[in-house]
Amino acid sequence: MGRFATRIAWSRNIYLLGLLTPAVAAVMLILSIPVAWLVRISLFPQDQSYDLSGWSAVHYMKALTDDLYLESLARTTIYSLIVTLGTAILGFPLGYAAARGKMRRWKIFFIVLPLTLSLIVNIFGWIMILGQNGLLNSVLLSLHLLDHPKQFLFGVGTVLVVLGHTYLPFQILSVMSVVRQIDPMLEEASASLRGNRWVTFWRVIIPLARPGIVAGCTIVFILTISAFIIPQLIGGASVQMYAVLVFQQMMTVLNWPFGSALSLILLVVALGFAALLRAAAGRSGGLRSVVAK
Amino acid sequence: MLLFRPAAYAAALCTFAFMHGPACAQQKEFEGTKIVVNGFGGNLDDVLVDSVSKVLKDRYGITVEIVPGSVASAYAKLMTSRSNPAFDVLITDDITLRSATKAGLIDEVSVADVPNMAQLYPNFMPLGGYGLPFFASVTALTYNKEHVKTPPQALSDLANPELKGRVGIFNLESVGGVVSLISLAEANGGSIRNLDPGFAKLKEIAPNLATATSSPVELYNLLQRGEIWASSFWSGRVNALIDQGVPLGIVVPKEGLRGNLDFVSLVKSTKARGAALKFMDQITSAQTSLAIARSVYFGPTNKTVTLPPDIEKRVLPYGAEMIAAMPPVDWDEVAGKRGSWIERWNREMR
Amino acid sequence: MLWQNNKRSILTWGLFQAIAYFVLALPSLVIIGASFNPGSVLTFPPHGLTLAWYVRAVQTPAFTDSFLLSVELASIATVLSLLAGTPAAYALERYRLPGLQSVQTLLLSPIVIPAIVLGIGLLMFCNLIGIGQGLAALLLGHFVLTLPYVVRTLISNFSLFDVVLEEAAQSLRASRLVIWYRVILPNILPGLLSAAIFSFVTSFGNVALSIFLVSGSTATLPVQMFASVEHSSDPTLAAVASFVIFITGIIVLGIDRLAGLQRLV
Repeated sequence: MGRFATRIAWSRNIYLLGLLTPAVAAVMLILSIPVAWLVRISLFPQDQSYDLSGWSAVHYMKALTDDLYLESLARTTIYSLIVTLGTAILGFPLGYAAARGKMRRWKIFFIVLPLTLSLIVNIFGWIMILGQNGLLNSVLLSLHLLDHPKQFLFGVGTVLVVLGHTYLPFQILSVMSVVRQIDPMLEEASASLRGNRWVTFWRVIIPLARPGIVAGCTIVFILTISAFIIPQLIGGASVQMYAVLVFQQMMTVLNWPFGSALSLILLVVALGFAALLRAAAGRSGGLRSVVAK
Repeated sequence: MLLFRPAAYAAALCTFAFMHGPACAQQKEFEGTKIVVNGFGGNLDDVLVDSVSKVLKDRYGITVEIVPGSVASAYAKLMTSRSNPAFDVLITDDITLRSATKAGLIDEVSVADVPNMAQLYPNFMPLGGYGLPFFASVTALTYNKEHVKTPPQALSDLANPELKGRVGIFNLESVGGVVSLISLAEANGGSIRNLDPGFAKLKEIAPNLATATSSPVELYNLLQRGEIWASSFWSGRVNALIDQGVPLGIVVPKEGLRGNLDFVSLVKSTKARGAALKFMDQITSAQTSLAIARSVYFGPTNKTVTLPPDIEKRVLPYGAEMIAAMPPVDWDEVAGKRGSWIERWNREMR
Repeated sequence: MLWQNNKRSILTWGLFQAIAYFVLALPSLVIIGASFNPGSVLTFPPHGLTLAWYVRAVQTPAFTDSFLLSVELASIATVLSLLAGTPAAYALERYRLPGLQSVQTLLLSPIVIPAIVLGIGLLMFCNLIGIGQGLAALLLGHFVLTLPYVVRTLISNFSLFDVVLEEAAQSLRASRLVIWYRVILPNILPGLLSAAIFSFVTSFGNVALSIFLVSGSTATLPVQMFASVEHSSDPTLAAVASFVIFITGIIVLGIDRLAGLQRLV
């Protein structure tokens, strides 16, 4: 940017401001009150929602020292990492193939399809597939792979699979939109320089597509860690993801101060991960990382 | 709340009323008034529309708008819109009624305001005029007759090894789960203040659990599909399943029949007080009680209702003696302690 | 494609994709199948075939009205998010100023705030500024909900879009506006489409936030479905969901016909 930067620095800053203002102003305006309210409520000492006064950090103390909540937070984070990793591994090849391969129209349809299914309906669908009287059991029984129906519903594994299934399209779309922009010439150039497939893959494609992978992982992680409807309905009794606990406090027990404290902790963890991921991936992903070498 | 182009409205109503008889040259008492109520969605809302909304429209010209959503979200909405309330009439369950009263969201009504209040069972009105009950539901034991060889007779029978992986119950987020816990505790030497025996029984049932959920529809769906074979579930819903041909049996558990009520309350600072009171009167009427009992098999709260013989046996609770015999639930205690109970459940079930 | 140089790898690759897409579509297929079941049980495979539930769905004003509202809402929210988010993503990716990292976190934050909390908070906000519940409140909520997806997706797209092209245009004395119109936008079209899809489906399918912002006459489709599910789980719900799937198919194919999807994405 060199010489241009110095010459037009001043007007650049105005430009920068102009670009950012609508989005930032909107978010700050619309979110400021909810978040401020959240913070204030989390600092009330009471345990209910109708008569609140005073200041206290007692709920944070509890959330951060009580093993029920700490364990849930740790588990939820690990589950989210697993789902993120799983969708990244599956999503990349699918996204790549969708960007480059044939039948793109149909692939996009199938990718967007699960996203149109309302959560509740999606869950009923899974009950029909995984239940003891469901599709999977019928198929396995008729193939004689099982001699009596097995319970596939309700349990950590199922929740992770369903979460992964629900959020996989986000990964695929992220990767796809980025790979579409990569000039196929780069890959062919690498191939023609006698680089074998793996070299091309690791040295050219992945670094180029990295921003897409990072974007996809960020979104999937955040969505998974705040998921509460799916874990609640498919998890059975023993899966207690963090956001479910938040929901319990806010909507069932109506203990808004404690629920708000839990929410803020969740917020910090999620945004922290996003920041970490961006830092680890390095801002110099994309074209520069390949061309600059 | 809003006035709805009165002239056009009156014209439409006159045409409608004309077709049904009485002269309508005069204006209806609450012509053009609209009230907003939180609803449940599904069949129950349909019953309310038929028995309450339509009647109010014909008789008084009131338009009733039913907004779908949960009771908790309705409570939250009211908490954040006190001066301009989101609802004119609030429908609540036992626990939310108490929170709403404590928060000063609702007004007390008297028999003068709502004449049908005199017809309601007294022991269904713990908070007097703050909340008028319009249906009662109980959790009963249910089991699938085709698959279960030894029908459970008590809640603790759900721990029977024959039922491994085939039991579904409510967790403590549902009032159904709460009353089951209290029943289990009291039947085994405990009480609402000493729930240890109840939790101990739950742990015995735990290995049989397919799921413990807060969603009635999930249990309904699982029973319907034969995924689970036994449950402690709303008797009204079980009856609906039986009507569909699912081979279920209903058993009044040895631990007693406990239930919960749904109430209707007047929202403070509503701008349509008169219309709201008419709504409350109509929803607690014998006519509506009967319609609800017919449609979803929930128990009537109006003393004057006599159920026809074909559904008399199936609706629980029904009848003065049965209702008097229902063990009481200290909902204030529940409202205060449920948070810690849920935490204890989370700890023990993880 | 790069490594499809022998039959076996083409086959395995193809099989892998086929299985993956089948699994992705599976719940939808099951639901579509269940929507034809004559009984009032949600079951698959269906015991017979009937369109009765579709008829019922279309005759329920609650469903048809809320469907139209959801489409309207999602479209407007998407347009707003694209308008605000594209320049913001550009600024965040192109400029290397220290404060920008926090700005990006700020713009991402709406997804992380639990929907319940955001819902109650937004409700307070809307009551404070006097618009109460209804379409305006829903719009605010959905806009702020979809913006992060747009920003995040476009940041990754901008990072791939070489600044050299813009610099070249600049050196040719092109004004900023022209650079946007002629250089930037055409090149990030795949990203824009991707972001638009994210945004639309997020808004269309949102339940948790919308519950707080709906008023009697303006409920979104997912909220209607969520509420109706509380007391009845007959195949009408499956019919509504299938209908949405059908419409999605038409839209995707429609975009393809009109704008040549293959070229865009």
